[in-house]
Amino acid sequence: MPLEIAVASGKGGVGKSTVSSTLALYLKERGYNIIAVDADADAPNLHLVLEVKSWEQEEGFSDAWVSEIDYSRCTNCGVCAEVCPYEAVSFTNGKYVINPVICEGCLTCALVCPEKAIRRKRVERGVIRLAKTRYGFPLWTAELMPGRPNTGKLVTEIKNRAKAMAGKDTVIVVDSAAGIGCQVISSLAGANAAILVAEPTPASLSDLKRVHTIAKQFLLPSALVINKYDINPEYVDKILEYAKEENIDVIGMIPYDDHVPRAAAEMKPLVKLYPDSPAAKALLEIARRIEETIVRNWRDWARKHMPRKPVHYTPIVIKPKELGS
Amino acid sequence: MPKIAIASENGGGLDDVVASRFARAPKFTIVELDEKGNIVNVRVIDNPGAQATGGAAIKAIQALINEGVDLVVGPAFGPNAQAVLTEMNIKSMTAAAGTKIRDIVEQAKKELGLG
Amino acid sequence: MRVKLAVTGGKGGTGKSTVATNLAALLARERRLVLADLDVEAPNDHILLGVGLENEEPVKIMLPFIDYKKCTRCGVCAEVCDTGAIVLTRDKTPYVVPRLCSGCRACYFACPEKAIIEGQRVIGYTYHTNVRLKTSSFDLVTGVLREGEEHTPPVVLAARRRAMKLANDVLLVDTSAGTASHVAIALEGSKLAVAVTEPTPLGLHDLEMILKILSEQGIEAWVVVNRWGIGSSGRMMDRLAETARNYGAVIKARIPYSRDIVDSYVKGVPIVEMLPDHEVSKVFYSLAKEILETI
Repeated sequence: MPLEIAVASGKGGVGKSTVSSTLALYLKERGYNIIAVDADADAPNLHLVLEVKSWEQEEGFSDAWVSEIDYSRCTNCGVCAEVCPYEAVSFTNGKYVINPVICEGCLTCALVCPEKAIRRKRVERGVIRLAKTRYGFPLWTAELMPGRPNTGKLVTEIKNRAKAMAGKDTVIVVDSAAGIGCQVISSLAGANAAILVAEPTPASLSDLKRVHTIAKQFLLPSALVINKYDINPEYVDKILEYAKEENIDVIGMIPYDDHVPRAAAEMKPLVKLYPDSPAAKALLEIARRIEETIVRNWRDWARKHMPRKPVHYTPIVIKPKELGS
Repeated sequence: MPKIAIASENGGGLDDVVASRFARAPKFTIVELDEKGNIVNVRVIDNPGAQATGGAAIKAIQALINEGVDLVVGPAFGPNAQAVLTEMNIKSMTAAAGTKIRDIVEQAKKELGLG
Repeated sequence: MRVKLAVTGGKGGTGKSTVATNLAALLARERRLVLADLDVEAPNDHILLGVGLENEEPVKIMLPFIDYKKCTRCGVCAEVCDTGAIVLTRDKTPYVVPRLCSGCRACYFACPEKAIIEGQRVIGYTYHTNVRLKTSSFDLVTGVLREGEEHTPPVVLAARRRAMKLANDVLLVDTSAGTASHVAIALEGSKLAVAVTEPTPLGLHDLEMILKILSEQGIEAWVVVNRWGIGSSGRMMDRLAETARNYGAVIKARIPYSRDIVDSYVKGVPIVEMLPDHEVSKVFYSLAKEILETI
């Protein structure tokens, strides 16, 4: 079975893409079959880091809906605006208008409209793309159309495409989105290991805990990379404390390094452009340790780093009084 | 009599292999067993999720519910698919894509506590 | 409420929350301000301000419960459910899978027997904290999505509503990164949006996406370039300026990269309070001043 490693953080901008691209490049050079998946459908960036110049495949997904009012039938009763769960309907310039970047195309307004004046139409949700990077491995990317509801479907689709082309020894590196919403949930679902990236700030620790909770809900063994550790050494201790409590494998730490933004400005991978920089050296060491412990010995590593306090997702449900208890 | 549904890659049937994806598998092979674990019937059904533009996993599971399936086999189940299977008390089992369906039935029997 | 402003930006980690909290601290010296942290998946404003989350209120969305005595097993509820949250057994008895339900109520309206009763599901929380800084005070409303829940928009909406009820002068919202619909919900009704970006190709790429949405929604956009300095080139600034122009936006400020910001970030004190004479603080003063003149 291919090995799926998901890189997540909760907080944006802490270095997920740097870690995932370095890991993919390193493992490829070590002879592994690699597939990179950019699961940040909101703002995919991996193709920029990996210098993709053109796409081999591009496929639109038109499975999103947006509702529209037929003004020849509308009587301005305003019931649609009342029932819309997202307040997507507003009264502007004398008529009710559905805002297409907020509307999720559910059937609610269409069902309540007394004149049957609302229909929904299919619109593009996003695009998935495949490129062969110049480093010899493929990259799958998903990009959500601006204004569409966030969804894990595009992420699930590109992960499935990657799995379909993977051999049993392939390593799939998934660069997930920031946050903990459906895209991240879909990125972590089905992964064999999570690499969590954090920087030593209170905000990053808070977001780390949230994304780790998702990992725990999936019983996903996790490793931790601390980026820019020298900007605040005392906070590093707080993060290490959390990692220890939760049985997270601390894989390595990367120092703050000017070469990182410089490489980003050049749109080239750091480890190719400045291989001797402190950050590149630290990243390569981290990649080496990931190969040694997670890729080569996944069973043992996973057993050692299973979440110590697994969490089961349970919805908080409030029963209506009419049905009794 | 227990029924097993296996996501199938090609035309389905005992000689086919497990599909690479559950929700988009072209067919499901439905294997019916008796209490001793002997195969009494094998059928192949289309997967309505295969062509669906959205909600493929749920559509697939709805079709399997309609078939009265007790155990579903696929390469992996996402959290939403898992939630529905749990709610409907349908067991699930993962098997690597490409595994022969005939071999799966043996493992599945154990999962169901038969034979 | 008199006016709504937003701080947004396509790329994660560009410094939206830093800009939002500092602007809030400054604007609150002149006006009565409510800051709404609508980055509900990973809210950070309270951390940057060094305050806790107080006055918790649950965010509830509708969850259907089926009155099986009235249900005729017609199956319409499952048909209209977009998210697949209603599954039918073999004899067409509907079952609700709470996790998948988005609370849209289509099933409730579609059921011909009125057999669906509205229950609720808690998917997150909103909080209201009074922030007292050295030179100003304001109200902070924060939305938090419960871990494991997938549907962000209702939490953004609930936090926005709570903030709007509190705001009678200026409302400043801090959106999440990206351009998904929940960002559009956060931006709705804003007169002006500060789009924070950074002078890198990644920043440029994501800036374009957010400017597109702002332009389509008729929201005036001011671009603020953060982390100016490291590896930044004049060419990059030209490209950012060109992109801004294409969408009718203007680059209003450049915030130089400074490790002092990191310090304030870590200590939970806005830099305009911690280091009021710092060059970064000066950028915030002039930005805040211009905003006050505009509104």
